[in-house]
This record gives sequence, structure tokens and C-alpha cells, in this order.
Amino acid sequence: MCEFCFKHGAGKKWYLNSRNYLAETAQETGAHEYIFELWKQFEKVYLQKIYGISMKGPGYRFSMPLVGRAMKTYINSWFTKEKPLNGRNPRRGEGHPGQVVMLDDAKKILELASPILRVNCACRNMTRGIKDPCCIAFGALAETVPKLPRYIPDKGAEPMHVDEAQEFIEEMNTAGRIQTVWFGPMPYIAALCSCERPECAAATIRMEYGLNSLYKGEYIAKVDFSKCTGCKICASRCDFGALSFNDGMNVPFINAWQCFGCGLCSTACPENAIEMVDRNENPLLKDVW
Amino acid sequence: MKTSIIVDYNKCTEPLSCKKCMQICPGALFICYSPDYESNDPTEWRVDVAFTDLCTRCNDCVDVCPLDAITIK
Ligand code: SF4
Ligand code: SF4
Ligand code: SF4
Ligand code: SF4
Ligand code: SF4
Repeated sequence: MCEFCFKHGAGKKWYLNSRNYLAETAQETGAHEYIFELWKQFEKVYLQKIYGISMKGPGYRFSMPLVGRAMKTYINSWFTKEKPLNGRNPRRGEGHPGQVVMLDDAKKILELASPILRVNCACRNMTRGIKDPCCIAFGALAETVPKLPRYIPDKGAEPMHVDEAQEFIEEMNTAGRIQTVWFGPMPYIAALCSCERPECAAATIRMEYGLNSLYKGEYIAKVDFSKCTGCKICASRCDFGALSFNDGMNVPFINAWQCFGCGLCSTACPENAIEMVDRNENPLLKDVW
Repeated sequence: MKTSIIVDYNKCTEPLSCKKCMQICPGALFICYSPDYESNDPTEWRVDVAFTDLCTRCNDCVDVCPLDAITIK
């Protein structure tokens, strides 16, 4: 259980608490206005002085001793900002962190959210200029996107059935896409994404600059060497640099500190040799998000 | 060394009908935006680079640009 679960999980994982999907919660957090501003200005958020620093080469600033660290702490506090409940600043991504989820949990999320709509991925649109309808928008986001033409898929914004959406994310997972779930703003849950690197902006700022825009998932991958046949299928599945295939021993090694718990290696393994274990059961890693 | 990537907007006037630099950059560092976000006028959109410190200076964007609009310093 991460800090979000303690605060917003009602005893469960935060993204499995049905209250966080209610229209009432959207209302309380001003989700419609927040999301409209965020998605409208999506590109600007990355180019302008949004976190108090310029995103044109933030690494130079972060590498400055002391000042760099203070800046990081300051920026990270935006992502987890809880107050005011209604009125956080979308241009700073306040209260808008995401977390990596495994396919099984992602499917459970789809059972809780409604309506469900496929919309164009904002990151890919911004960085590659492509319209890829792979972001699954819920409630307030689903109701907001029709006002922003660049995110409406060519085929139109059609609501999806739960099983259709579950099938879709399964295809995405097979294709190597990482499932992530997003507050927008906390505790309201706005979207389930199917991301990949380097297009995903949140993953870039997490992986390259260590900013907590995207939290690690609730699980960690673990290889059962007795089941592994050394087929190497898992070798190309990890986008987080956690899995390396050891040719000498003919098995994959997983660096648990680096594992984001996306489960992509596990879903690809034909022998079921990679198990996803609860992060909380590992005393060293239970506070590493 | 600090990298700066400059796009000459006198040359690149309609990035949305080209997008070559955006699609070739290994780090997906180019960002296409318009000052007015729902602008339907394609000449109002610009490409710019975020995260310039992640640029590896591979020069792919410079090579691919049909209008020689990109300079890397
Ligand atoms: S978070 Fe992922 S799917 Fe969502 S907009 Fe960004 S890259 Fe696209
Ligand atoms: S090791 Fe497996 S579960 Fe962990 S981040 Fe890599 S692909 Fe995902
Ligand atoms: S996919 Fe499974 S069986 Fe194949 S190498 Fe990886 S862990 Fe072993
Ligand atoms: S030089 Fe290479 S890494 Fe740098 S912006 Fe151009 S394409 Fe991207
Ligand atoms: S490749 Fe050149 S002309 Fe094409 S969008 Fe990029 S900068 Fe503009």
C-alpha cells in the first residue's frame, strides 16, 4: 500500500476504491475544470516555466548542488498536493500523479469506472504528432475531451463497454504498452493509460529527472528459475531497465529496486515463470515508490 | 555542455504537415504546440524542444528536416 492507498483507499488500493470514481468526487474536486485546463494546455505544461523551472533542459538546474535538490522536493510536492480540494493548479500538475498498474488490476479499474471512452493519447500527440486513441478516459475526462478536438479519435468518441475496454488494454499490454492509472485531481481518478517510453512525458520526467510524477506499482517481478526455460521472450519487455537477460546462465535477472511492477515481463512469459509479488511484503522495498 | 536547439520559424511554417523531426528523434524531445491551443490555423503551430539536456546530438533531426530549419548548438 502506497501513501495514496492509506489516504484514499478506504482499506483497499486507492485505484480499487469505487468512491474515487464517483461523479460526486469529480464534483468535489472540480475535476471537469481542472482536466479541461490541463488537457487544453498540455503542451504548454511541458514547455513553459511550469514547475517554477523551465523544462528546456531541467537537468542542468537539478544538477546544481543543494538548489537542485530543493527544487526537486518543491516540484514533487505539487504532484501530491491535496489542498484545496477544489482549486488546485492544473498548470503545475497539482494532485495529478499516476501509478503503474499490472494488467489484472487495470482490468478491475475498468469495472469501477464509467463512462469509459477511448481518446487520443496526449503525450504522443504532443511529441510525435500522431493520433493514437489508446488513453482510456473516465467520467470527467470522458465528458471534457469532446470539447478539445485534437484528442477526439478520427472515428469519434464512442463510449466503450467494460469487456471491450478490457480486451483493448490486453492487446495494448501484449504490444508492450505499460498500464498506468491517473488521479485528476486527487482523489478523483480520471484515466487509465497505455504508455511507452520515450513518448510518455510522465515516465520521462520520472526516469530522467527522478521526479515523482509516476509512482512504481504495487508489485515487484520475481523469476522462478525452476520454471524458466531461457526462451528470452521477456528480455525485450522491460521499459524501466530493471530486467537484464544473463546469457551465461540463460535466465533473466530482475533488479527489484528498479522494477516498476508493470508486469509486462510476466504477461509475456509462456512458462508463467515470472510472478508478481506484493511490494509490501518486501521490507526493503515496501516504502520505495 | 549546454545544448540549444533552435528552429527557424521563418523556414518551418507548417510543422503539422511535416512532423519529420518529431517522429525521428530517438528521445521524442520535440513538442508541437500552438500559443492558442485549439487553433485551427496550422501556421500557428510550432515545434520546439523540451528537455534539451536529454539531446544526444545524434543530428537526426537536422538531417531529416527538408527545410534546413534546425540548428543545434
Ligand atoms: S500518460 Fe501515457 S497514454 Fe496517457 S497521455 Fe501520456 S503517454 Fe499517453
Ligand atoms: S522487471 Fe518486469 S515488471 Fe518490473 S518493470 Fe521490468 S517489465 Fe515491468
Ligand atoms: S519469458 Fe519466461 S521462460 Fe522465457 S526467459 Fe523469460 S522468464 Fe524464462
Ligand atoms: S539531435 Fe537527435 S536527440 Fe537531439 S533533438 Fe535532434 S534528433 Fe533528438
Ligand atoms: S522537420 Fe523541419 S520542417 Fe519539418 S517540422 Fe521539423 S523543423 Fe519543421
